[in-house]
Amino acid sequence: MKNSDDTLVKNVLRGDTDSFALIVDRYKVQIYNLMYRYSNTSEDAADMTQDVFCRVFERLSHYQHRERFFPWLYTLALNYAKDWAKKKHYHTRQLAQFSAEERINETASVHSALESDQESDRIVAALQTLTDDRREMVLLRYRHERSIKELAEIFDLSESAVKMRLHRALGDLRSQLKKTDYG
Amino acid sequence: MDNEPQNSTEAELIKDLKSLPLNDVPHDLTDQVMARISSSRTPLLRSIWNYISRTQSISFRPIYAFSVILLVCGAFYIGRFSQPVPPQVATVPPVYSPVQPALMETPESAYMVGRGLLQADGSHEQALAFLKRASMLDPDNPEFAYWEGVGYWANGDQEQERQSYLRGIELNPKSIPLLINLGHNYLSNKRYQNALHTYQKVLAIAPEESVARYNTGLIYRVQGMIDEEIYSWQMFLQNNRTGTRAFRALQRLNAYNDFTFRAYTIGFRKIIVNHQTLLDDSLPEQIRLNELETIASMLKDHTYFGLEVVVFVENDLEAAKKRAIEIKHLIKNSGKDISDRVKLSWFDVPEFIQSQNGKMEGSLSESVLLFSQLPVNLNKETSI
Repeated sequence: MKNSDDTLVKNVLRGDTDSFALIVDRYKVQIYNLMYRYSNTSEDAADMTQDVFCRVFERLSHYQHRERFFPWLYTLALNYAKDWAKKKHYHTRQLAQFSAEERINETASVHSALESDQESDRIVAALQTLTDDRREMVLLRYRHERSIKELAEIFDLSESAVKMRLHRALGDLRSQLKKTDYG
Repeated sequence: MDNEPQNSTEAELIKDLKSLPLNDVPHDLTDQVMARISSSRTPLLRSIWNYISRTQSISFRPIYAFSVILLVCGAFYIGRFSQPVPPQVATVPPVYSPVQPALMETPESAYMVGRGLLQADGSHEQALAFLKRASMLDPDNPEFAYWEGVGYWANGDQEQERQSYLRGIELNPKSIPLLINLGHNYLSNKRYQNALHTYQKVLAIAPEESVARYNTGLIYRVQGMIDEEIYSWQMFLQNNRTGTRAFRALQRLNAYNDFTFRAYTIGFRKIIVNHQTLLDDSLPEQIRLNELETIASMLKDHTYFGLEVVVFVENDLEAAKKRAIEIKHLIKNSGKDISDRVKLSWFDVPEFIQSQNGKMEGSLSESVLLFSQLPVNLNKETSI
């Protein structure tokens, strides 16, 4: 039986730092992919994910057990990603290096996989046309299968507002994909 | 799971969304986070802040709140009657008038304003105007050319950016910042040969320059020049053992079955060690000791774990034993009192190396494997 988030948090707060590694393992995929969507480089995404988890560790004492852990963590990560995006223009020319590396990785990808990835690429491109919050909402709901309730907590909205926005976002996505002959 | 109304097209789209590929998380991410956490100690001020900013449970009695309100109101009225009320003077709000680049008479002032604006959010166009002004007033200053280039880059004009760097390099052909940024510019535009040539100039001036070295490896990689790529990763790792780039370089190096450098898991951290140096007993002891320095320090700081040293020498058990004892001797000579926690094993077979996914990567006829043994209570079960 897996330990619940709250149990792990309690363990960490009692001084069992190793339990935090389990929290990182549990959520690193979601957080890393969130950071990747904001930074577009694996290098930055890895550094940002590390920063987020270190911040989470520092602020763990502020976590209220009344709320759910994942929305709390994701809200913190989302705010961090948004701040990072605002500041990214300050970064020096080093960014070019990493974006260049991403392109190199693309060219090295297996050609046979490209065909099957085309549909995903179109959806990813369509997702980019949504606002950041709508895109995150869609991905959290459908890719990471988080509940409407959790989304409501993360985006500070009512559950019906979340449903409405998801519905609109899917509509926007569909019309965007229609432009490239989806369905 | 909550359900929303779906029609067939929507359901199809949702199905596609559910199967969107996710990016692979770096394999050492958890280790890196835990290493950062274990290495950072909470400063006193942070502890105080944590204490005062966390939610505290308090008991509340209305009478106390009423007393406080009464006290505040009383103080307010006493102050009102005892202090003369200062006359209120209407003030005109200051009018914001941005300085125009053309009004800047000295290149230094234009340069300073430009750099300041470059740091400010959303003022990159204005910053560029000042940086161009500085460059125009003093065209012989390579630093101004450099920052003009950065200004162009911030505005997405890579062609002009390159021209600024080239002009700066004419003035100072050995300027590392100018050469590095020019290299980045070429690399961004997939002009690999130009980028390579530029980075090589940087490395001729500063062989340990890590960004130029790393990007050189990338260029060789994309051009399929494996030997040169391997050499670049080796050179990069010689001076860079931490950070994501170091682990990425190591991963690529090891993928070519080159184990000159290896990562050893010690506690929660992965430490990159020059494995070749560790094996080479013809090298001075100090050089070999340097490779073990980080591990020895970690063992000293974390008294609860030990170090396992496993040596493989194919068909020569005696040589394997000798090498294992030699490594323990090296650790003992590090000056840290940890050798009693070092356990040795030796084998006369080659070491078989597996990749992360369990596939066989290769074998080494002579090798050293280091890892730490955590106490049982730290290896907690997470599921049953």
